[in-house]
Amino acid sequence: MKLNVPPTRMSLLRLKKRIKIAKRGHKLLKDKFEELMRHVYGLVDEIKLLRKNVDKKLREVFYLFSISDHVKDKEYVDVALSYTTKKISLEINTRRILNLKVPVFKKSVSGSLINYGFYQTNALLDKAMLEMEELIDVLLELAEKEKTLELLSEEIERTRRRVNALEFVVIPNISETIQYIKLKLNEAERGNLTRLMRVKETIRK
Amino acid sequence: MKRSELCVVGEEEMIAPFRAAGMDVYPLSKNPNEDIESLIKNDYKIIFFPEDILKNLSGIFTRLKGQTFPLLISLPSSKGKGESVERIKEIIKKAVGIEVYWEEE
Repeated sequence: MKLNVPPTRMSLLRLKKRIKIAKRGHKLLKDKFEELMRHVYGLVDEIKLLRKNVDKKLREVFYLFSISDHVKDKEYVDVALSYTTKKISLEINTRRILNLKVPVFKKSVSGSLINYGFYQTNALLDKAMLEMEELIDVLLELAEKEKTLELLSEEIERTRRRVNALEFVVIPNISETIQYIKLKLNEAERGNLTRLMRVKETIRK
Repeated sequence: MKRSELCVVGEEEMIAPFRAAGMDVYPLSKNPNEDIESLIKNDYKIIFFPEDILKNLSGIFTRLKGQTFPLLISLPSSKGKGESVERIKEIIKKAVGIEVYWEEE
């Protein structure tokens, strides 16, 4: 579609400048898009693995917990667990990928996990708690990765729309208009020339 | 003492191990949407929840679009049917434009 500008030399110059900028922007955005995609492909595999891992570990922990509940009285287990002094504190930072802020966690743990006597609880519970410890690490990693993927995907959508708008709307429109103005100017030039020739002819007669 | 920044919501048997590990845990009420909202208001940065309530939370997810925090992460649960994996698949599909192969077991 032709832009609505007067077919003059001025607007031709202006449009030429604009198309240059649009092309540069297009190239930059395309590079950004490719970079984002590269990150996504890397993340997909990692998340796939982590999800599987979380699935397995969670199942294991729940399983161990439920057995330890059954072997001993549930009340004992609850009491034993209520003594835990463990506190997980997180140091939350952000890292930049291109223009995106993605979360990065650093876990610090205080207190000990197993804080009950050996009496009244069994070894399964201990094992469950140790598993739990590992699980939390994996969970945090998963959280970080999934959020990053989410942010990346939104950014990719936005970038893709921009790239496409430039490539299929803005740039073609401008170049069509430039072409039109050039033709129009040429036509005016030819008109001028023939007019001059005719004037010259009449004067000579 | 500094308050923990991550918490877990879910049914009692699900959150018990997390409580023992020193995380803040909250039982799920009839209205999971409200539960999560109030946790977000409480300034938790990471919230884990069972995947079976994922479908109730689409409103929250749309609202939080583009924000880095808080993180809402679904965990596989006994009632869930793999919704969290579905969600990730959906996100990847949106980004890449095609279904990226996700091996099933």
